[in-house]
Amino acid sequence: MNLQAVFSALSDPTRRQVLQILSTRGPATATELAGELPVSRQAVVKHLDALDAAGLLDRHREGRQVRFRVTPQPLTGAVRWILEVGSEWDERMDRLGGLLEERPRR
Amino acid sequence: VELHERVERRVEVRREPGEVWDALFDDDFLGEWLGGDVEMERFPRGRVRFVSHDGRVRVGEVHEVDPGRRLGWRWWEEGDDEGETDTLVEIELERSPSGTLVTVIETLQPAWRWELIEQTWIEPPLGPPVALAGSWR
Repeated sequence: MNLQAVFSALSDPTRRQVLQILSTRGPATATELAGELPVSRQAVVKHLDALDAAGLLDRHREGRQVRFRVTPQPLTGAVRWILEVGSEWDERMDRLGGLLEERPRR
Repeated sequence: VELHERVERRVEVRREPGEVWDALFDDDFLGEWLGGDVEMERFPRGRVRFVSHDGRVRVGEVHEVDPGRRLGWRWWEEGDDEGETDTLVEIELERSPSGTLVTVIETLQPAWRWELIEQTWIEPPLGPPVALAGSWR
């Protein structure tokens, strides 16, 4: 999983909306999504491609239609990165003052 | 949890910025602060190696040295060929009423940004590469 691709995919508000719609209403086609969003079907398809490349979507063919579904695993990885790195810096910031106090003054 | 590709933290310490800066240039101090052993060549593209107390190894290179104000380095887990763990750490010092405001920002780095900076370093068109790299935000 590429975290950078995940964050890049999530940086766009329309793509976040796409994820929100798919996660609350379940799998949908690009045409159905375009009906709910203020952008063209072509634009929706591009956003779906970006989300797919980040591993955030699954596509299933049903006859002539392709339905998209959210796959949340990459989100878990992104959240874990933020929590881990954030907690490391929380601990470091907590001890910075004390460590500086231990150093002889100029 | 908000999903941004960066983590930012601030703390105010009761020491002058110059003293904090000196401490950042001390491998022992930096290691103790970061939680491991640090070896860092503090000049642009200088080597960085960090072994955390739990044995994880991060390697990388210094990105920016702006004396008294900002120290930045890029690091990633040793053996990470995909750039999955490649992040930029920036430490900024600002004088504050009681001493120094220390800001740390750690950002996941898209590969294209580094390719651009590499090109800049090979043939800097606008002056010293440090200044150019520092303008990347």
